[in-house]
Amino acid sequence: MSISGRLRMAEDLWNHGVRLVAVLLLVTLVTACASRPPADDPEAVAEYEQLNDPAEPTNRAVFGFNQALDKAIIKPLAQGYRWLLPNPVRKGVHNFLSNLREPLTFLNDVLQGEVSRAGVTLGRFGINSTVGLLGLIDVAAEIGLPPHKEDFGQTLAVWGVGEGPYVMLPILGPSNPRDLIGRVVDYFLDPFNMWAEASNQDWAVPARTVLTAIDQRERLLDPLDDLEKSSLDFYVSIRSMSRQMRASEVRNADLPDDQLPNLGQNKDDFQIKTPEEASTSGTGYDFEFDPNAEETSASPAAN
Amino acid sequence: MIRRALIAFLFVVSCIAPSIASTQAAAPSDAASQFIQDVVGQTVTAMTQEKLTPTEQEARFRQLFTKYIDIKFIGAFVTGRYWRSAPQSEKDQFLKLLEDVTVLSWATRISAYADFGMEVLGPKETQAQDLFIQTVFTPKEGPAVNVIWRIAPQDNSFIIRDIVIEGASLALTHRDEYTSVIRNNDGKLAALNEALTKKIEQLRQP
Repeated sequence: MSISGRLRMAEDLWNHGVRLVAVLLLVTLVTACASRPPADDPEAVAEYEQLNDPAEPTNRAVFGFNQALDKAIIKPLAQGYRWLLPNPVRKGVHNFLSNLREPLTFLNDVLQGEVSRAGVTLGRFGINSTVGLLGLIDVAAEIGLPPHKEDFGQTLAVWGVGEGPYVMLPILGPSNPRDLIGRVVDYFLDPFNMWAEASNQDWAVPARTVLTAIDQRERLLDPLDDLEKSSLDFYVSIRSMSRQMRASEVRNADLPDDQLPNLGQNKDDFQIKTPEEASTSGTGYDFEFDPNAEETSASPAAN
Repeated sequence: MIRRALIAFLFVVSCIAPSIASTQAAAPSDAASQFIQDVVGQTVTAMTQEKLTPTEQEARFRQLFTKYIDIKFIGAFVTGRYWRSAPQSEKDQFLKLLEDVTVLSWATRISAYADFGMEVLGPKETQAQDLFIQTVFTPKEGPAVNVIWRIAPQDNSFIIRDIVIEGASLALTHRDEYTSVIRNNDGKLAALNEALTKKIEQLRQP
């Protein structure tokens, strides 16, 4: 496809896709918002801001829709996929799909200025595409080049763009405005999509999307079942874990010092601090705990 | 052509691989790392050495749980600001329920996920009082999983306060979940205790 053709396609996508998503987000935020606590209750305000889910009622409704869709179609497909294919074959499919994504990860590594990680990605793609039989076998991991994933949402985060409010998207699941923009940009950055368009392989992008969704759902069958079984509020568990894991991906799995708790400084028992207190304490963390204070409060009840 | 490309890529790999290997080679020489190694080793041995009934699994896991987990700290943390205002009797009941629900949720899972290798990468250097021990679990199937253990010194040994799996802290996840239940029930810890009691009944059903 020519450059003008791609630009026209980008314009179409903007006109139809992105605008639709923007309207959806706006509707989500306007129609049903969780009520903000009064300003004279700083702890409640701190809690509200930490949760970062102003559209919780709508998000919960979308989550309910996603759950119904999952139980009716996506999960049975994933279970059928597991039943049909033995693990070594599924592993090969997963490796193949992951390898197709490596060029996109490489581009985002470069955009983030991560030279060493870009080298690892390049090495992985080269080795797995050749010795690894078009990516079916992850030879690179065996020789000390572990996989990692980067996307434009993470690149935006590295460039200092905030995540924005938590949003539960239909079908796509947990996200936020920054990562949603990242998804759209990744679509245009991805060399695989460019190849599919240039060679008029209309089947390639949808086929890869569906296969990737089934592969990911199959890998999550057991952990999600376990989480749902033990959870008191599955929506909150998914929101909490997905936000934490996304933040960890942005940090490249590192645990920075300013996110560690500082314990045992507060004599007033255990409390959540306001974001301002947390930021000025130098710990960046929002709780403190004094075990002695708890012992003291426990003794009268024991008597 | 392919051969030339391969040689080029192997060159790239040879430049990168030593730096990766050196970060993973740190031996678990200190007491904290050894503690994690011992806890995981004891847990795997206790839970997988022989065929256990669900009741036996629960009893064995509870023994390990009460020995190595700082339940008072976790209980206070996961209930957030509601901990302070709750009556002591409700706090005591909550700690017991928290132990039950965690033991029941994990006892059967441990043996299902027990077929793995673990490498202790060592403690992360931080300014915090607690220690953060980094480990990597390598299951027989699937990708490696990064796990960080947050531990605190206690009685010449250590006690576990949190487990962070691929960036998700179990304590933080439980706090978000439990405070949501309390908040939606007029800020009463008793409502969380009621919900946990029902969940425990569900988990006990075969």
